[in-house]
Amino acid sequence: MAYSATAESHDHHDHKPSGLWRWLSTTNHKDIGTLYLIFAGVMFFVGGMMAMAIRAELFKPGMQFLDPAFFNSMTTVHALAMIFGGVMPAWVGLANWMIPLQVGAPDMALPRMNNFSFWLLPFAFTLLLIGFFVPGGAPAGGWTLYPPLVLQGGDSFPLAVFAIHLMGASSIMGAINVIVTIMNMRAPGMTLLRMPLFVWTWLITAYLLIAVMPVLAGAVTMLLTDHFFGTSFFSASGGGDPVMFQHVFWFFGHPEVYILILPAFGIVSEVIPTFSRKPLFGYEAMVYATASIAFLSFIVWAHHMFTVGMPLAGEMFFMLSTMLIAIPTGVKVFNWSATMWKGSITFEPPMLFCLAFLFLFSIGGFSGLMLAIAPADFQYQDTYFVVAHFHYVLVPGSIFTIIAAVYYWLPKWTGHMYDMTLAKWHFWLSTIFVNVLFFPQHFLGLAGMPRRIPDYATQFADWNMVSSIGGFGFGASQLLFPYIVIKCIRGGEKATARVWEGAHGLEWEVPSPAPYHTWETAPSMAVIDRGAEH
Amino acid sequence: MNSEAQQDQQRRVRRTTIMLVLLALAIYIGFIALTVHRSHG
Repeated sequence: MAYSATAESHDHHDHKPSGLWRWLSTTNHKDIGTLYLIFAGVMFFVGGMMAMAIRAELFKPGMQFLDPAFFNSMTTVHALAMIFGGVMPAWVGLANWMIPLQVGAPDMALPRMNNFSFWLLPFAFTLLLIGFFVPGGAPAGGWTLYPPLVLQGGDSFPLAVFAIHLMGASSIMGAINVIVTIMNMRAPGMTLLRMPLFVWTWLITAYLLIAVMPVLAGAVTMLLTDHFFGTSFFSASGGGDPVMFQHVFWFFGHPEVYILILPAFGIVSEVIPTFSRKPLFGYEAMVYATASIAFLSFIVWAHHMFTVGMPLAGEMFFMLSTMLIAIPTGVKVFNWSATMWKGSITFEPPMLFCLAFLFLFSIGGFSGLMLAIAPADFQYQDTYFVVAHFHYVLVPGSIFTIIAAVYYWLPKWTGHMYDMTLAKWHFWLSTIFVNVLFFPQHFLGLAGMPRRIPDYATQFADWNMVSSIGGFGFGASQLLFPYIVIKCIRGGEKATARVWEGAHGLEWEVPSPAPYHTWETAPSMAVIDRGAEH
Repeated sequence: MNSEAQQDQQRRVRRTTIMLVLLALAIYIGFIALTVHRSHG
């Protein structure tokens, strides 16, 4: 397992500033990556607490703990916190840490902008969460912000809009940084088709971000002017069109789903070959499949709004274009399976989480296909079936792979191995409880239980209780994660440079922990060749 | 890296950054214009 690293020009001056000022003013990609990951971790627990409140209220029929308006705020802010505060910053954090290491660059191309884009986030989420303490309470119209409902909110509405603008600006700056770094800072010899899949998926994700975050910013700007300046973009009484908001929102919203999941595909494409001790099957097909998924994500948006009433030709187009996404996704699932075929597989925690991803994300994909069937969607629309679908995509999809990525690279970051037994406990508890939590929601939805309600008919009581028990179990088992990470930071068995026997890539060519400054001299072709055995 | 290559890299970084910022701005303004056109068209 041990592998002697070539510490070319990494460790000769590993000086770094210290104290609070280091973290406020840092332009180092590893520091900023760490900040993003800590922020995402905090937001996962903030959003997770809201999920616990939601599941506590739904534990049995009748009103238990929350008043209905506060319940609506919980569902709305839970979504915003998890999507914009948890998953997206976690991916940006991993990109910051790993992309320069993986392409042989000394840092991100725009380090000062990198610092600025991170420090916008705490301000954005402070604004969002302050909404709980202003008249009218936090935003409660759902994360989709549909008018006219959202315009009837309290004083928190402009705070939420400003928060979304700041998050959007931060995301766009982060995306620009990723693209500029990958396109201009790669080591000589690191051609595009030699880049690790995580870098590829992030490059495509960054283009998606630049294409759609301005659309969201435009949509919420128009909401703001409708609310405060008498315009009527989306107000029927002034000649506007509320359905137009839904079109604009989902033109952002569907690619956003892929922004949350494409880097996950990159992680799985890194982890499965490592623990199968085989090169990735169909590297180029994986790149083209990722690009195809990204392209298709722009032409399927109206499948989120089949029931608003659209021409039959429109329904047919969006139904069929949505189903097309199954083809490149199928290519990926096939290639991951083929990579494992006849491999010498071992089941370390990153591999376990990626295997769970493979099965559970596919369940989310299949329920997505069911929702894509326009006539069937008229039954499923706004039921718990939709809640089950997107949670299967996002929790075992995005969150499991973020956990897999942390378990994969944590020894590289800290220089220590973590507690494998506890991490496996974390995996098994998470995987069991995530299914207890979300699988019954399919049954509830098919039986007709609407989403976004604090109370329900008694016929839904049993499965709601099961789902809540799963929720509490899943929430509690996540407490293991910070414990394992903090324990690993504080000490543990020394990690080698390569860490995992089957690992390939430039990040494994530097010592563990990765020095503060890496690749100040670009890696040689020999080093790139050794790392690029996909 | 010699200074000429470094300057060339800096130029490429600047050019890519400006193009991406302009792209984001164009999409922001374009979508507002499109919505105005479609809402009241």
